[in-house]
Amino acid sequence: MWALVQLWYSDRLAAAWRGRSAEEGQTIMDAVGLTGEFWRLV
Amino acid sequence: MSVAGSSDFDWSVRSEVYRVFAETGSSPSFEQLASALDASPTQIASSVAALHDAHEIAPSADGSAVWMANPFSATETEYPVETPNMTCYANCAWDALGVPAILGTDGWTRTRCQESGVPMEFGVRDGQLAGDDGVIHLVTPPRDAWLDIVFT
Repeated sequence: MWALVQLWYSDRLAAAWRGRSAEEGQTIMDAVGLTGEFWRLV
Repeated sequence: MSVAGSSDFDWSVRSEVYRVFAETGSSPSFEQLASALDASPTQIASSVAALHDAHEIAPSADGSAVWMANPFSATETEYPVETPNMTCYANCAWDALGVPAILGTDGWTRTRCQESGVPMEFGVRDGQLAGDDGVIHLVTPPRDAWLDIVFT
């Protein structure tokens, strides 16, 4: 969970933040091994 | 998720909301945002509505204030997070870990299990996850989180 939270939130204070697409979010889920249907974003 | 439809000004509003949360633990009012960004409260309200559509900020039910800028809550919750520089409220257990993650600092939460009422504490200490063992139960699939972000 901590690995996911860090990837999910660590860049969100950046002034350049312009949101994250579903595809980009899916990359994070895949990176931490959350590949089940519950975790699918696309 | 949606990233389309938000203007540069909208993103400036978002940045200021998050900056104030990160520094103070509290949400800025629309008047404070208007002053900081040389705009009107009406323009701020419009931007917050656009940021809600973009799944970035949740306004209060009447649209007059920021309610959530995940992981931060503008209102008191069961998840206070103590950080080295301020104390804030997170929206849920997931967001209670989100606070140290977004700040890049330590952060500690003392709360109760929402099911059993048993006191518990957890967070990040010296950069490491620590605290009581437990389960964070996510009821809503993340892809549906913003269908009703308050429920989520």
